[in-house]
Amino acid sequence: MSSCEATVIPTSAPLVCVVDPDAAVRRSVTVLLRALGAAVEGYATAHDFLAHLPQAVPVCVVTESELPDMSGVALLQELKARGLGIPTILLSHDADVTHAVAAMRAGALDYIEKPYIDRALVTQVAPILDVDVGRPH
Amino acid sequence: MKEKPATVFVVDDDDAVRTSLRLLLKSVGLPVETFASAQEVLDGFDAERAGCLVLDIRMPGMSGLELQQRLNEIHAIVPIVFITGHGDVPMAVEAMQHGAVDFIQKPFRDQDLIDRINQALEKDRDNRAGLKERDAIRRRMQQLTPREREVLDLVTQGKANKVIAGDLNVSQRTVEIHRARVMEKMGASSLAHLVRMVIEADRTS
Repeated sequence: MSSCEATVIPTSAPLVCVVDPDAAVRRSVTVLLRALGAAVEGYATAHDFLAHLPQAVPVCVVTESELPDMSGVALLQELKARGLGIPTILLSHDADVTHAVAAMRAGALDYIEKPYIDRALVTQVAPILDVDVGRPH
Repeated sequence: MKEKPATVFVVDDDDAVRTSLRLLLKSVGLPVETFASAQEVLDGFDAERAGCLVLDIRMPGMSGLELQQRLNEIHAIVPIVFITGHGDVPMAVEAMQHGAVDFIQKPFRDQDLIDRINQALEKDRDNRAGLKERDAIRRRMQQLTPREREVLDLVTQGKANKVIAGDLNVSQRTVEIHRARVMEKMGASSLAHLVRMVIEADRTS
């Protein structure tokens, strides 16, 4: 008898946190990443996210580059300062090269221009979740 | 043979840009060599030369990003500072993901470029020092006898002498002797030091 059923969603699904003041973005990223098998939590501000951090450490963070209370780069640095080298992806709606380079130098995994973020997000997050989505083209 | 000083290799298809960068970098005492194409860099590439690349992203023929890719394929460690005339976020992100140390947009302040080049040169010095250290460790490892090498592997897996003696079917005293020789030949001051050296030696690139 098998103790494990394929239809059961594992309670230990890897956690991804989405930090973005825009509820629509949080919702669409949540839907996208749940489809990849992640548990997703959304936060509107860096403060909210950091306050919940001790309870569950995510395998990946997706954050808007300009949060109401902090920049995405500052959040990335805060995570590093806490000894949490969590792969972090920044999203930006008015991306420019200077910000992108600063984010990458700070250790961001990627810096994705809104609004067309799905493809790039899947490309980066799938390997972290150990999901094979085929070769991206 | 005397080692050449760390050099800034400037790659740009524009004559005027090459000339002005050459003058700028010379004015702050940095040795410069210029190239008109990415292919020219590859053709004369010498991995032993210390320095950094200042690379135009858009060039006829092989682009700066392609050159970066080709250099990555041959495991070149030369740090790259990209220069671009047209801001393009995906391009900048790609260059950084593939290991560029910086990506700077025209027009830039001379001092900004010089600062970034100095950072790149510092990174190159660090990388080369790391490689040298790794080579030294590997050379020391090659001086171990096959038996000592076995003992090294087992010790650094965290096995106790007694267990190793069982694994190798020798006496514990023999393991102790081999182990002491390994520590001496490797110049290790402690087990932790030995483990760090083995990890360092195992690193690729």
